[in-house]
Amino acid sequence: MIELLIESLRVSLDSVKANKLRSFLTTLGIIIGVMTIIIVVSIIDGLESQVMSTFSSLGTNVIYVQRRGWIMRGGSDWRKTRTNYVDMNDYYKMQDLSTTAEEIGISISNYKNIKYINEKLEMINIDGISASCMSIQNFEVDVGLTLSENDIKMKKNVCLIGKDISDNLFFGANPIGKWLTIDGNKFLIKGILTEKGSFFGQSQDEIVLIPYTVMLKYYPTEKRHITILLSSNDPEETIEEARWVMRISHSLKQGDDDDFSINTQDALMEQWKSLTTSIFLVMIAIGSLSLMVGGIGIMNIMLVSVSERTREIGIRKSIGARNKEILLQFLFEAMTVSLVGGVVGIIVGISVAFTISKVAHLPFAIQIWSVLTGFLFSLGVGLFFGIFPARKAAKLDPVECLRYE
Amino acid sequence: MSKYIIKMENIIREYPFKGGVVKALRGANFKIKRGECISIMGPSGSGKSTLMNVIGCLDRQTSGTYILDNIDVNTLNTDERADIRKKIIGFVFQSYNLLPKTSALRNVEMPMIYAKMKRKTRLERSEELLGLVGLSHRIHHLPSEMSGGERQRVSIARSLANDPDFILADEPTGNLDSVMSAEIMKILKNLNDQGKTIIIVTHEAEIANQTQRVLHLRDGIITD
Repeated sequence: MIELLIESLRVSLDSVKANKLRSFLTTLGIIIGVMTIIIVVSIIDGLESQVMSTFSSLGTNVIYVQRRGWIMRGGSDWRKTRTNYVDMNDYYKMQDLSTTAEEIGISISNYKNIKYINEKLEMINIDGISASCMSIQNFEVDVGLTLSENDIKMKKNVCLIGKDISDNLFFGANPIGKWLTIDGNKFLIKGILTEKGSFFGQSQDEIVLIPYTVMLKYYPTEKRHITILLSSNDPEETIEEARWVMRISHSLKQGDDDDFSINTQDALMEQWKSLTTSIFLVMIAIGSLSLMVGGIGIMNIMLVSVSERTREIGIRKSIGARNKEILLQFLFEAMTVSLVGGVVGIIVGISVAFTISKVAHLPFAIQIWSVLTGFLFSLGVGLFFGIFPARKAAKLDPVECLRYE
Repeated sequence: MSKYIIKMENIIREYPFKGGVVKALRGANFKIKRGECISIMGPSGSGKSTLMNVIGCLDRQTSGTYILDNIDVNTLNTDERADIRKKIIGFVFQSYNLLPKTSALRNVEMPMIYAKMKRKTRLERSEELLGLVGLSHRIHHLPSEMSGGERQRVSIARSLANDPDFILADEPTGNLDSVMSAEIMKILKNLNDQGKTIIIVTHEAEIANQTQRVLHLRDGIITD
């Protein structure tokens, strides 16, 4: 059996070598299929660990009270649900009533053009925040000073800038103590934030933080678009509590729907996971389809091989090969061809995944199980699609075979 | 052990053909003793190939009894017939039937793979057999790199691989010139001198006359 396997392996490798182009075309389906599996698994994996680390850099266990939900709940169209603004009043109520939140903060986002002397940047994320947001949202000051309670209270025109702003407006010069113009108003730069990296391809360092009180001073209408942030060690409890506070604050009666949304990263993460799962399933379906097409290719080429080698089959039978041994020979051969395709697919897949991870700045990881799956799938395809041609070969009549020219 | 390696009684082989039948063998009645060197001679179309296929257990007779080495071959299944071809019969074909793209050594080794011999034994024996037919210097050559005579010698070496009871040679010199033919016949006669039973199927009287006994096949009929 082992000898026969080695023998078949030798024969099949010979025939693969003798028909390089044909073998390549035959195994292309297998190569693409296995490659797809490897690449998809690796990239989704990389994205996953990237997203996880980004989520935690946003601040874990943070609850966001906002007018709109991040996630569309199945069936209900958010445009039809009556919602109300989350405003300063809600923020004060939350501060008065919440007992489970560690810290409570407020954040108002806006996109404005900024400039320093003649250098301009357009549509930059300006966050008006309370001092507590620094810790809730994991903002750290790399160089300089942070926003103080006093800055907030006294509505001072001060700001902290992200790494990208520092790089793109000041080109290495020290920005601290300089005056940054935001939408025509001048702000003293107090500090530079520690780099956070990008999130879904969007830089988190292209940001300017100012006191929320200053934001409201210049843009009073924004008071209706605030986000209340709560950090908590017991998020579930705090979510319930925040909901209770908001219902009181909005004077909702029993039976009324919530007219606000409580968002958490967990829910977002779940959304993200279900998205990657769908992508994953689609790609696996494509991979499987291509494996199947590859399998049909192998069956086809094996049938050609059987008829090309009819005489060889006759010779082998005349010197004592049993039908089963002929069957195994052709089956092993189909599996070898398929496996060669699988191995090439694994190698190409790993290289492509590596290249993509380098280009997209994703962490690179290859799961052993994906390599194993690719390996076993290609073997399985060879077995499944090789069995019919192999049986055909085994059943041939030796007399007919020897007469075959 | 029986004195006779082959006993054929009333062997008939018919093929269905266009609604009727073609009788390729109409009656084969003969015995071959162990250690004999015998030729079966007949013109083309006389049923030589059919008889050879039946003797070689590649084909089944329609009726009649074929006793090979005390075994009624007709009672055997496909696997058992394959085993007979592997252990008892050594084939030598007119067109050599060597595996192309496969070295002489590996061609000779092939039957021993199916006999499940150890690799080391196989290689040693293959070299030894190729030495016996005078091809020690050509063991790694491919059939396409060899002359007809050399190929036929490889094929003889292969037929001896599993130490068969007899060699069944179908027109072994049919594709060779007279010098090479003589060489092949010399090897076969040497083997016979060493006790191997040799059966040569041929249409050439010149070849047939070199054997101890000649059986004539005419219109599918052959008798002792």
